[in-house]
Amino acid sequence: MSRSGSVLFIILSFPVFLFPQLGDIHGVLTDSSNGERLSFVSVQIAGTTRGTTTNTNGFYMLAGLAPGTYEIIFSSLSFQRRTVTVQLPAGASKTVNVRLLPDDVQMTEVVINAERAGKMKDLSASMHVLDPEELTKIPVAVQGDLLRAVQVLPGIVTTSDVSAKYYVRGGSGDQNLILFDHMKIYNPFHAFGVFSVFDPDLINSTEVFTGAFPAEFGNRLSSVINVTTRGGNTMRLAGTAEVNSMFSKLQLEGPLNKNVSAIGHYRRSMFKDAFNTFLKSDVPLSFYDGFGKVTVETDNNVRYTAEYFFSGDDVAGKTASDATYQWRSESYTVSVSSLASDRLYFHSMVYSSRFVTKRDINNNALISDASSEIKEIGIKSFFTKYADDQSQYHFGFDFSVPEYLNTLRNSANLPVVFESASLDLSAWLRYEYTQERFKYDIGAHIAPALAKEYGFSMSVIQPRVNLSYAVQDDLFAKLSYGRVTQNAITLNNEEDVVSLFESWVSLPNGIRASTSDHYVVGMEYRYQPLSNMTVQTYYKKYSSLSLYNRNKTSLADPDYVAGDGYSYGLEGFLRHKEDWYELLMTYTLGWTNVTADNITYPPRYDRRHTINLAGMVSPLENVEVTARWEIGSGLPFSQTTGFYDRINVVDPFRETYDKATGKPIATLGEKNAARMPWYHRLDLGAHYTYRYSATTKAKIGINIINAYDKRNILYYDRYSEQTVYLLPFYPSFTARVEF
Amino acid sequence: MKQFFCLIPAALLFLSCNSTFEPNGTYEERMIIFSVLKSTTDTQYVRVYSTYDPSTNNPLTHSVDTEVTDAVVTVSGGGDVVTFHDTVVVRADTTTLYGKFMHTFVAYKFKPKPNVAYKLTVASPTKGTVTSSIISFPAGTVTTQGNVQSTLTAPNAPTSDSSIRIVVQLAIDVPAYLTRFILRYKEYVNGVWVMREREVPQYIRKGSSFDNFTPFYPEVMLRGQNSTGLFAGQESVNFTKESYIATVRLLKYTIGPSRIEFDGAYFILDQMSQSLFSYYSATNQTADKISIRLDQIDYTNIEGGFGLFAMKTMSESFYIKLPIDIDVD
Repeated sequence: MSRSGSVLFIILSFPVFLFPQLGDIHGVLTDSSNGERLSFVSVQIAGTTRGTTTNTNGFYMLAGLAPGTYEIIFSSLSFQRRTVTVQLPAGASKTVNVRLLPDDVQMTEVVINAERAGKMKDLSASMHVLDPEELTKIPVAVQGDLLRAVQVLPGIVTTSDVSAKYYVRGGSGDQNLILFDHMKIYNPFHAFGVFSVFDPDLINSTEVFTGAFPAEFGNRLSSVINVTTRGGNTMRLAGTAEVNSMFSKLQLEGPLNKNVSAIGHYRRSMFKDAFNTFLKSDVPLSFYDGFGKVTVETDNNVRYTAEYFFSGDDVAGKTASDATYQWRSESYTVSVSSLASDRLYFHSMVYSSRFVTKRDINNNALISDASSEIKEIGIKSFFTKYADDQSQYHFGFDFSVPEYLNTLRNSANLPVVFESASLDLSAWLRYEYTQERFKYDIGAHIAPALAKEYGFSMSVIQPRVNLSYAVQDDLFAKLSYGRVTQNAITLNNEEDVVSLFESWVSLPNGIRASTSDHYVVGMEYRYQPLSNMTVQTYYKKYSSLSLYNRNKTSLADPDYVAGDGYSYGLEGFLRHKEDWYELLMTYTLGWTNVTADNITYPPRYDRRHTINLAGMVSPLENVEVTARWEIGSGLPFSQTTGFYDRINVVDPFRETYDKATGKPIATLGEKNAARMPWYHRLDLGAHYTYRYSATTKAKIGINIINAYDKRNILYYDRYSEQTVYLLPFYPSFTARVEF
Repeated sequence: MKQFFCLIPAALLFLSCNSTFEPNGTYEERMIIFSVLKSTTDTQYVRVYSTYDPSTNNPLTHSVDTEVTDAVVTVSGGGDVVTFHDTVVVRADTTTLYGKFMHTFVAYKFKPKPNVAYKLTVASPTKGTVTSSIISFPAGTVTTQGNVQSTLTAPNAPTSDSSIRIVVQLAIDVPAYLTRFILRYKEYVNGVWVMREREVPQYIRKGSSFDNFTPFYPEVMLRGQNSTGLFAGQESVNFTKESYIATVRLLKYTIGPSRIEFDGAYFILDQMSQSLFSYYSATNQTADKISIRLDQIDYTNIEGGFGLFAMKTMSESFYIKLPIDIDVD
């Protein structure tokens, strides 16, 4: 370790806990084609049930092995299986780094990868892992997109074609934690949500937790998406250039020297007309994002990274009197990961992020200037102690100083100024144990800051439990429980069809953090080596919900209203693979009810039935055809029960209203008691790959959105009686070169 | 099991083909009341009308006002019961589809007293009965601070203040208020001096010439926004001297120096009840152009119906006598 590395190590790591040394085999797995570290690869000792999986840094450890000779099998669906023979002397700790050859067979990937999901997947029916290749295979409007791909998973509901915003098991859109190399991303969308800021070409792995997530995750009530980026090609200079109907991008990566690699990426919007199709409005919108990362890997597997991510969106006014909007995100991270002692692996980072959104009204008198900013600096460390070949301890902490500053006016034109800065500390401890048929993972997420509000309770030490039992070799029963709290919310409301200005606030003292309990019971049946199905039921109880009071019309009205709620449902997941096709089918049956302001109602995203069918077929060499069919029952809305002419008090003192004529306003019936029509849409994609050489290839493709032109309703204007529909039949093209 | 899963999408698609969209629910008729009691007049109005059916009326083309004419309207409080009588008045805006005239209820010689709980009752044999209550409040006071008299008389003098500052004392529980600065002058028209008034902006944005500026008049202020260093219930308000000078200069220029004589100035304090402020906030809701909100903020304090029952007061400062000609050059 270099001197600077040593300093960084001292800064970032906890004191090392020394355990008695036993014989261990450990190392990192990399892709032989580009040197990229491979996460969630199965590592098994041949002839036994003992094994493990690589972590998100590609590291594995087989701990507590008796001296002898072992055949270690490394396998992943995307790579050729490899067996390595290792001689382990008594008490030795042996490093075995392995490179895996990518599998040449194109159709070995599946939409949602179960095998690479690793131990946590064995334990929890609510976890899914997406490979970057999978992100590009689900047909979408323009380009493979992480948040669009996530939407095929069971338990996840969307409300609009034009927004990638998603709702998990009855949770609102701000209850989803999105981590980009462990940094919180507050606004992961471009173009109001048409697609996400995460380009699939940057992603190494993606974990999605739809409930009862592990102890290291907290402060969001409903789900976690944990994105790990690539480190860049360590073998050669490589790159990708792409042009499609919305943007162009360029990505370059390669080794800087023997131990250093880098990756750089820039993407910029180009075609305004395409946005107008998606957004149903002539919006002068543009966006960009970029990412740079330098990775240093020493010969003894110590890994340092430094990365910078930025993104921006701009809406220019069509005229000089129109308001303009801008969103800016940027984050910096420096991290180090290594085996600290014989069995203690750590991954630590220092991070800083900033998210700003602004509205400049220019000469528009109808709205007001607004700004929202979140600045955060922090340090986070993950530790894994490999106790023996059956058990591991995971622990860590996250200490950050977030600052929130919001200056705006609410819809009733009342000033809203939220300023807060706090010291946020959370810690976690997990114990993972594996027997032949029984596995469990128990732990707790600890949020000390809530002790003042909740006392020493389960809201401060939040239990997380995942149990799995192999009823038969191919049949698994699973049980999960978790309590989660959340103390930051958005000032917007899910009732809005499209919400332009979104801002986050930290709940002030005296307002209870929102709390939810997740209960999940499931069964998994692996009826073929590459096919499986799961069925699970969930119940999520919100014992406390703090919601922004969007109907505040007086300063005396509270900023927040207290609520509670629950959701429950049934989810089915079927992945089936044959020689010539793959099929994924997910089904969610769910109910959600929220009580706030003494009204109980199903929120706007309470979709009773959601079904996704995705299929892939390769009819010819280098040709892939994909399809996705999504069906959803109607979303709730409030019916109009009358109109009246409301006298507008434009100036309460300068005019007489006694003789004024009002403007129509609708009176609404029971909140969200009615349902929109069913939604269904078929998307198709076809791509042809031309290979110039082993490393250079060109890819052209066509995607067709809404192939049979179903008129799905976006919203209904009560006053003009016009129905506005979602995306019509929309073909798009893409061309891409990789070298 | 696989067959079961395959049947689900087929069944759901079949169901989806039969789903319909009905944006309107069962019509619920409600009475709409609108009344703002004023402390400055003894003529008070109560508007009474009703909702209309969305399934048979488009709100943008609806042309028949839903006036309720058979109601009995009373306001009781302070030991008095005032019964309103129905009448017809000319609409403020006669260009609407509703035509020129409108029905309303009126009471003469009724000026609300301060600190009285007033209850409004509207009983219709066809529409039912709705009620609402407010507690009235006294008018506030407005006083000038600093050398306002000399500043207004000779704004360019070295002893004048840089701004014109007033302090208002609000009644308890008044959530919002408005101040106004009024300049009174006489204009010589057709051989006769006619008394006129002009409101002075709170501040201006200068344009290319002295008569080309953008005025910014006072807006509704929230209680507590300008109360630093003052007694409880007090708020301070500043008017820029620049806007005063610009107003005087513009009047002299547009009317002609020989045809105008300045007379004096005074300040007005308007106070509104909590219900009027909440209603005002609701009716002046704002939204981003691209945001889409399907519901609307609404406010009512009418039990059993919609609309507003509220109160406002107005009070004036002492009158500041000004010279006939004010030197602003």
